[in-house]
Formats: sequence, C-alpha cells, structure tokens
Amino acid sequence: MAASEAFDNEWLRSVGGAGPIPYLWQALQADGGRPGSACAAAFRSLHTQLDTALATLRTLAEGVTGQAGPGEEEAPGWLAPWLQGLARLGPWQEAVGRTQDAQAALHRYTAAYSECATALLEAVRTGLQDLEAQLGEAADDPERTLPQSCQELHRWWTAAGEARHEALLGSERWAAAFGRLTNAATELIGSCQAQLDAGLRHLDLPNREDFIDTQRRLAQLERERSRDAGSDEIKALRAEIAHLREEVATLRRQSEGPESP
Amino acid sequence: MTEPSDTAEELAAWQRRLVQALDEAGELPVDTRGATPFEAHVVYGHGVTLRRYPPRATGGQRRPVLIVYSLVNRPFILDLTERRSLIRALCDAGHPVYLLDWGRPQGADRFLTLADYIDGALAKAARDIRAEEGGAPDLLGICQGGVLALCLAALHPARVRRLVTLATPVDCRTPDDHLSRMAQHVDFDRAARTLGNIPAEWLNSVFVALKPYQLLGQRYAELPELAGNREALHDFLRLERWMYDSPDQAATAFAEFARELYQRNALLYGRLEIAGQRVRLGDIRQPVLNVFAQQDHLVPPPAARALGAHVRASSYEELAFPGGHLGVFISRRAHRELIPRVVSWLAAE
Repeated sequence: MAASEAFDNEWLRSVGGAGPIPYLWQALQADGGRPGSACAAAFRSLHTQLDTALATLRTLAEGVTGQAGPGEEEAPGWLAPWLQGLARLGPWQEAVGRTQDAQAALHRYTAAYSECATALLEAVRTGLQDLEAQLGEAADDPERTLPQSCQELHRWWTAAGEARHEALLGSERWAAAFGRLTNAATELIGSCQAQLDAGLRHLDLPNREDFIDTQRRLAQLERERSRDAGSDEIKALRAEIAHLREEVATLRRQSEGPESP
Repeated sequence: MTEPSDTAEELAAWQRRLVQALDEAGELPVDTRGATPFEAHVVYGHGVTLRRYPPRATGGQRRPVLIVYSLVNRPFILDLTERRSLIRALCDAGHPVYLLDWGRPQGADRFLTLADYIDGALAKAARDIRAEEGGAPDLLGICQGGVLALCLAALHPARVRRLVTLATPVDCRTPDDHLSRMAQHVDFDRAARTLGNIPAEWLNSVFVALKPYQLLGQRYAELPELAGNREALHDFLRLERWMYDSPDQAATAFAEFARELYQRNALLYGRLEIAGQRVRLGDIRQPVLNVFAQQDHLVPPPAARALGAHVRASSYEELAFPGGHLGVFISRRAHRELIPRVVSWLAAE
C-alpha cells in the first residue's frame, strides 16, 4: 500500500490547522484578506500563549534561584553552607559531596535553560509583533501586496522571526546565556559521570575513567610507534644517500681512471 | 482575494503534495557516496584516508589538486551529484584530484590534536602527492579545511604550490560572526574532558540554531513543491542527508580549534602553535585565491577577507560569490560562474 493511502489526511489537516501560521492565515481570511479585528484577536491569542510560557519559565527560574514564588515558603538558603560543611564529615563524605555537586549542577542547568528559553521566546514574541506591524503597514500602502497564500504568510513570518532571532544571536546577552547553558550542561553530565563511575567502581566493573586511561595509553603507543617509524625512515634514507654517494664516487673514479695521467 | 473556504483547500492541497513528496522520497536511494569514482587511497591511521580521482580531460594533465575539507562535515557535498560536483569539475579540467577524508574519530581519537591533523596526515598527504605526481600539489581548502591548508602552507611552504581558500575563517572575531559570539563563554576544554569526542548531534544543533526558521521551518514547508520533480527531490534528500551525517569531533583537536581560533583569534594574530611551531600567515608566499560568500552566516565576508591583509603571497586575489555558505559548493550559479573561475585560476602557471 502506498504511504499516501495509509496517511491519515484528517490528522494532517488537524496538525496543519493547529499551527500558528495557518491560524493567522485563517484570521486574515476572515478579515477579507486585510488585517482587521479577527487578525488582531489571533495575534493577541498567540501573544497570550507566549506570555503564559514566559511566566512559567520565570517561575521555574525563580524557584531555582531560591526566590519564592506565590504561595511558596522562603527557601532555607542559610542551610546550604551548613550542609556543605556536614558533607565533609563522616565515612560517606565523598558520596554526599557528589550528590550535593549533582544537585547544584542540576540547579545551575535549570536556571541556565530557563534563561535561554526565555530569551528565545521573547525573540519569537517580538518577531510576531513585527509581523503584525508589517501586515498593517502593507495594508495601508497601496504599492504593497499582502500575502496571497498561507505559504506566503509563512515566508513573511520566517523573515520577521529570523530577523529577531539573529538580533538575539548577535547580542552579548545571548552569548553569556548560551555559554552558561553549555557549561552547566557539561557540569551536569560530569556530575552524573562521577556518580556512575563511583557505583561501577564499587561493583568492580570497568568505568569511564578506566576506558579513558586505556585510550590514553593506546594513543601514546601509537604516537611512539609513529615516531619510531619516522626515525627508521630517516635512518633508511640516510643509509641510501650514503650508498648513492659511494656509488657516485666509484663511478667518478672509474670514469676518471683511464684518462688520468 | 482568497475566500475562507479556500484556506482549507490550500492546506489540503499542500498536504497532498507533501504526502506525494514523501512517497517519492521513500523510493529514492540516498547514500553518502560521492558521484565520482576514485581509483586509489592511502590510509594514514585514525581513519584518515587519501583518495585519488583521475583526470578526465584528454588535452593533457594539469597539476594535482589536494582538497582539504572541514573536519565537521563529510566531504561528499563536494561530489553531491554528477551535475553538482566540484571534484568532477576539477577532474574534467585535467587535474588529478586528491581528497583527504578525515573519517570518523573513534574513542581513542579523543587525544588527536590539530598537530596530528596538520603536521601529521595533511603534511604526509602533500608529501606523498609530490612523490606520486612529480610536483607539489595546489591546495584547495574549504571552510575549516581552509584553516588547515593555511597552516600547512605557512609551516611547510615547499609542500604547497598554490592555494585556494573557499569560505575560510581567518578573523574569527568580526562583529557579525554569531557563531564566534556564541563560542566566547563556552569552556571547550572542560566540554572535551567531559564529553570526550564532541557528538555530531551537539554541533548540528548549534549550526541549526543559527538559522532555525529557515532550516527547521521554511525548508520543510517548501518540500511539497518538489513533488513530481524526481531530480530536485533526490538533490534535496542528498543534501538533507549530508547536513546531519556529520562525524563526531576528536575532543582535543576540537577544543584546541575553538579556543585558539574562535576565542583567542590566534591564527589572525600569529599566535597559533602547531607541533611547537608558530603559524604566521605572513610566511605564506604562494599565490592565493580567496573565495568568500557574500551572504555567508557561518563565515561572514570580513572573517574570510582578513586573509588579504596578512599573507605576503606573490599574488593575492579575492572572489566574492553572491550567495550563502553552501551555495559556494552546490548552487547552480556556483557551477556556472564561480567554479570555472577557480579552475581557470588553478590552470595559470
């Protein structure tokens, strides 16, 4: 059976209809092709959805940084140094330290993720505002043509959204946030590795450190072999040059011999 | 004016074409082999191989060309289809073409350094080609491969006769370089220690994040337009495969490249060290042709054009191509206008 026969066209239609651009396009059509009240309502609805997502991210970031959200208790920030000190005592101090490091890494990652996602969503929001403004300007300008199809509207949106996205990428705000997210992700992965390595060590199973150590030794052996091969090659070349010089000298002697007085 | 009922019809038509395009795509073969057959290859270890593509012209053989491609993608973009093949264009012009395929780094390759790539495999390849062909090759360095080619030309001038750089970053701190800006606060050494070889998926995400609306939205929104056009759909699929068929990056070399070039701008300032030797662009005396794309979002024109102020080449030329980063290699316009000019430059004595 061809894939097209099996493909549920109704499902596709519902997916297409649920996207923001088809949604805007339908509103634009309801306004008769020129942005009006339906279009303004559609933009407002999309902005509201984005604002809700942004508010959720802010709540997440505030929770992570210890700022209490509405209806939450004040986080016991004074407890952190005490817990860190406690982790230096007793037979399980290494394990407790690793767990605390992992928790701290997770908090930093969540905060950094929230910061990046907020910046991206704000850029999307500004892109939407630009699109709305551009549609309005085009409607007021008899020289310009409004989008004549959903696909054309999609191209307008791509241009408006990408421009705001690029402006964000060019900012120091994004550079710092992206750096924090990448470094926090690295730290989080590192803390998971440390936990797993410790567990495998207790089970006397090879862990990541063991593999890396083996790989390092292998790399060293390959370098040494390569150096030796290079050195052998130079020795062989020197021997060949000496041999050729000898041959040249012999030939010279032979050629000069009968003619010399 | 489109009526509201037409909206549903337009979407339904778009979906029908999408289904047709996906049906046709499912029947097309997509592999990562290049379109041009190669005749021999030398293995340099760590998965690095050197391929030779024989010249195809009957009017006499030209000098060998060694293509130095980027480490971050696979080189089959240079040989995407018979009609869009930089390699074939060079072979057709009479050049024996060599391509250094960097392969796919494996676990123990995490310790490979830039010196292993440049002073190791690349220098050996240039030496072997000289022995095989009776003369040093012309180098054609592409993107990151252009940086490696510049390093070789500066460190081992006898192994390079002429040099072409395509979309090659030299000044990695120009104001409109978003990739560079994003790299400034990343601890690459820590990432390399923690992640080992840098996963291709991670790098691809970064590249896609530079143009998400086009690469994740517009590109696929326009896919239905290819329904019924088998050739265009095949090209699309090959390119799609190439975009995400990237190798992982050897951890140490990747961190070194990102730190030294993108954070310290060491190539531009003559502070890059390879195997204990300083790379000075001023040591490059060979003729240089520097090709850049005017709408390149990965290597903005000022990043590539900075080369001109630093090399002391016997002749230095620039070629501006009106297009984006990939357009330099695969666009119809590049094959019609740009590549013939590169071939013509290589033909000069």
